[in-house]
Amino acid sequence: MTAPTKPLSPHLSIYRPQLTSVLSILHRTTGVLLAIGTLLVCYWLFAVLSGPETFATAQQLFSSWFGKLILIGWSWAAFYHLSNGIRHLCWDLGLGFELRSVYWSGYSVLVISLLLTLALWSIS
Amino acid sequence: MSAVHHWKTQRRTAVLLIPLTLWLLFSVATLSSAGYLEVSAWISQPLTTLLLGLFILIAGHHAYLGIQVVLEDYVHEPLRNRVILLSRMVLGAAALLSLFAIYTITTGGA
Repeated sequence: MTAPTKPLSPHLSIYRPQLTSVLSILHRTTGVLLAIGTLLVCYWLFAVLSGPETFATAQQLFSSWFGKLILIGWSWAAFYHLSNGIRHLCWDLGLGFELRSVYWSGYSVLVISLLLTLALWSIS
Repeated sequence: MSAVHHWKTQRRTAVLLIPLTLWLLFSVATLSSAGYLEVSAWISQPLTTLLLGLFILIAGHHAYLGIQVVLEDYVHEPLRNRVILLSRMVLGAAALLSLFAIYTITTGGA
């Protein structure tokens, strides 16, 4: 007896992207990037630990245009993963499963993550 | 770790990380133009030391659980467990080094 064939995931190359699928993969992508980003926190703490000179080098690195770009992207990734994470927690509680709610919460998460990023950089 | 325990821990750490992450990002943003002394003084405040330590432990754990799920989806069998173990070691080492750094800064420098 042969094992029954298991169902396959949709083939991404012929699958039309939708808000729901794009936000879903973004949750993973930002999650992985944030995990890698924790190594940046580690670097920053060691820059403080090593004294004023190393700390000044780190500050210089972070305030260059490339450093800023990384930090802005990183903060958006954190805010996106956080707001979309709350969306996931609501689903875990059984809330917001109707198609209209899923789209409404999806757009809200995008807007909120952008607003939080703007707020963060306006006080920095 | 059982699947149910894994699932629950991922959610519990997520809930704890909501306030901790907002606190950390907005605190660091206000320190963006601060000098060395200001930053090390901030880290040495008892409340900061506590919350920063908690953030590192909980975020590290949450990151490990999430990375494990992603690796289980994309890495196939002969390598899977070794790659998961490697991710665990890297994240664990980063967390331990960060805690060591905070401890040393708080107790008066290297």
